[in-house]
Amino acid sequence: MRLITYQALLANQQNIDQVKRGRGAVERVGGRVEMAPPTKLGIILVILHLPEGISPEQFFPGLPFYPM
Amino acid sequence: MRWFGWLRKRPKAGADLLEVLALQEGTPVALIGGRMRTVGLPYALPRDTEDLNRLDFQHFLLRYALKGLYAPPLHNPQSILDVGTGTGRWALDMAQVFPHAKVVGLDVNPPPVDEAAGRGYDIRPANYTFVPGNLLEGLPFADKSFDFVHMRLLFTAIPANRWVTVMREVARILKPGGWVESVETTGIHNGGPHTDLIMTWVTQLAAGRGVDRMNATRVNTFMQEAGLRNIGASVVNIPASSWGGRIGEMGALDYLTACKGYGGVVVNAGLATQQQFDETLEGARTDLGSPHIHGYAPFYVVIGQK
Repeated sequence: MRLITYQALLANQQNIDQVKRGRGAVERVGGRVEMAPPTKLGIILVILHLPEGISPEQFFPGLPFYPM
Repeated sequence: MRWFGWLRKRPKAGADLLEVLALQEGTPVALIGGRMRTVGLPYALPRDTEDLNRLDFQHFLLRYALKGLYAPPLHNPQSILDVGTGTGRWALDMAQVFPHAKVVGLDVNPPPVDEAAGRGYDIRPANYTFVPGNLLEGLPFADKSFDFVHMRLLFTAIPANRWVTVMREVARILKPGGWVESVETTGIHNGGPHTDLIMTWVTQLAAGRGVDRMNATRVNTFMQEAGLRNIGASVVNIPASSWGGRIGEMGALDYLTACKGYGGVVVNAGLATQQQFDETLEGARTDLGSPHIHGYAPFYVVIGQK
């Protein structure tokens, strides 16, 4: 299974919580979520690995993930 | 060393994480393609002293070429927002021009003036504030907060499918009667074959990140879709080669320095070898210095009112 990697830089706490909540669902389709610790200003880098053919929108609608 | 600690725990996570091995403490910046760049954004240009200097230089170039800092008919604005403030230079200038207004700069990285303040050297005007945030996930302000919102050169930062969303956010935070101004470009035109090839690589690189640089020409449509009115658009062609005199030489220098910043990521993306890129950049430098090449960058200035 080929994984496609996406990134997003998140500052909004609601969006960060959305990613935390969706982590299990991503893992159930064979994907992976990695979250860096917050920067000094509270911004978090999220790296999302999803099987080819699955879009970040399916798990995190509206969040600004883009392919690396 | 929080970032480094995080990375050390995941040494085999994959090539994507290798890119962020040089993350600086507490900032979302990593060594990618030989330069420090902000991670997690489509924006590919470096975040280092060389590019910060270029952005400041570009600010003064644009202030001169566009004959001022803003286009809408502002009357004693009380609150001004600079979306994607970068070096903060525009916001700082506006804070001086409108000393009674509250001027806010928004970006994921603090401008140098705020970083300096953190080190105890604070020269920020009292009416200026920096707010951290990623414009692509919404603007962290209440409805009807600002009299004027400014957006400049975000054409490589906003993916094609997010322009309308961003503009709707801008409309949301504008006060009734407030203005937004967008200044974008599609890059250098008529700059000769080497310049064209670099523009092709940059376009391909951007497309891979969901960015369409031609969206600079569609901002008026995005404003319409966001429900703004009294939309006005103009195009200012700024010379970008030596035929244009001093301003042309400045435009060429800005462009060539930006291109240099793209080099590492263009090579990383497999669009060119380092040698091809370096030779093409040198060719572009020669072309833009030629009196026979009439290179220019069209700047699309669009204003809209809520």
